[in-house]
Amino acid sequence: MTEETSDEIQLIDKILEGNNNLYRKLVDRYAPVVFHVVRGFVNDEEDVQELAQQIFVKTYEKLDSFNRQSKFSSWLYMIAKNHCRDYAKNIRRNNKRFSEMESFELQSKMSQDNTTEEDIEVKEQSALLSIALKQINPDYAEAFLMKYRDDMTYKAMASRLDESVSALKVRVHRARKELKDIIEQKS
Amino acid sequence: MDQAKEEILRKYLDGDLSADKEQEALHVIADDEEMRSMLRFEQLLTGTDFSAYEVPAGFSDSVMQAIETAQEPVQEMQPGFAEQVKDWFSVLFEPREIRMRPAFAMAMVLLIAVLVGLPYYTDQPADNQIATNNMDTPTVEQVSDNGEQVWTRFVYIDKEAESVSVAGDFSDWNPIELTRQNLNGQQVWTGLVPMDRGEHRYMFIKNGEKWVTDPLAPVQQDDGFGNKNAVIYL
Repeated sequence: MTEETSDEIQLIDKILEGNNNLYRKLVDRYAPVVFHVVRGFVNDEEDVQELAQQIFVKTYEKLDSFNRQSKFSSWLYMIAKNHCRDYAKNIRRNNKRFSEMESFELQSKMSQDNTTEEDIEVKEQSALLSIALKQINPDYAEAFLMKYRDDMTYKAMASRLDESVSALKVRVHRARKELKDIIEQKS
Repeated sequence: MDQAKEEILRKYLDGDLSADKEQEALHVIADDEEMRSMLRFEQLLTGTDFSAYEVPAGFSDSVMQAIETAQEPVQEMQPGFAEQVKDWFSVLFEPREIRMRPAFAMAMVLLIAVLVGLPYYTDQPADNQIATNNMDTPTVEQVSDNGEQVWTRFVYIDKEAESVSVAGDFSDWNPIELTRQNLNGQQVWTGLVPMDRGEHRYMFIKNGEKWVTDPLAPVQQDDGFGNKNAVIYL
């Protein structure tokens, strides 16, 4: 068990003992993961926020059934996904507008029941990226985000950060490797 | 992964290789599981929508608020104080939620008697209400039972208090603030506290300084410092 996992279990124990306010730490830490999952299902931002909140409330209510053998992030991810799927099913049953999504898009998302374990793992890894980014060296994370999120060239990055292109390439590569290690540990 | 391979991979990912070198690099990558795994990860990164991670400001606050609200099931305000009190307490008294010992039942019967009496004073001058309501009416109620831990609701009625807390051995005698609910100008202070099964001692604290023994507690016990603690058994 990693140190972080054991810290997380201690935190969950304290919440279950009645320190409810500590749950905020888990919300702060994992909100980006949940939002990432929900936005895969729903486009309307109001619905996104409502669903994300419902997922955290549901997780809080089920916290005493958390199996300590698994990772909290994986457990939360599954709750989030199932909640979104139930929501989508209900919307479809009620024949209501499902966000701005076209029906074929919805069909394709709903057919995720047929997705392989590997697909689920990839999606979960993608969701966990935001957490991993907070754990690596901030200089590496900054360079990484400029490259992958902002799509900047190394030349533009070098000029912005007043660093050499070669130094930034090394930072980005170290970020890739560290992120991969962290995500593989988590998922 | 050795340093040479690491360099090949980095250059390949950054597009720093000529077409020929790129072909060579792909052969090296194909033969090395670790390098292949890095390449798969690269595909994950390039396919990631980073804007999907954004969390709106105040989101954690709204989650914590929703959790708090879910734990304090207070009925919506209704016209008429008597109905409000009745509705509000009917929530607290829902049979499936509460398993009270006979001693608690007595305390709650006393509380209901006081509350049922209140509507008769609502048409009286304000002074009368204050006189009536100055009767502090604290009590304790067990609201849920989760094995070894019991959620217990503390209720305290006091129109003049600025704040009310409860402290006991379950909180190492640190005050736990109760939340104020307003019912037609009546201040009902309430809070849920998780406790282990067994015997507990507690007191209320009014305005952060005045320690008050629960007058409705079926058992009171000297604390050795001139005050009396209330005692409950869960």
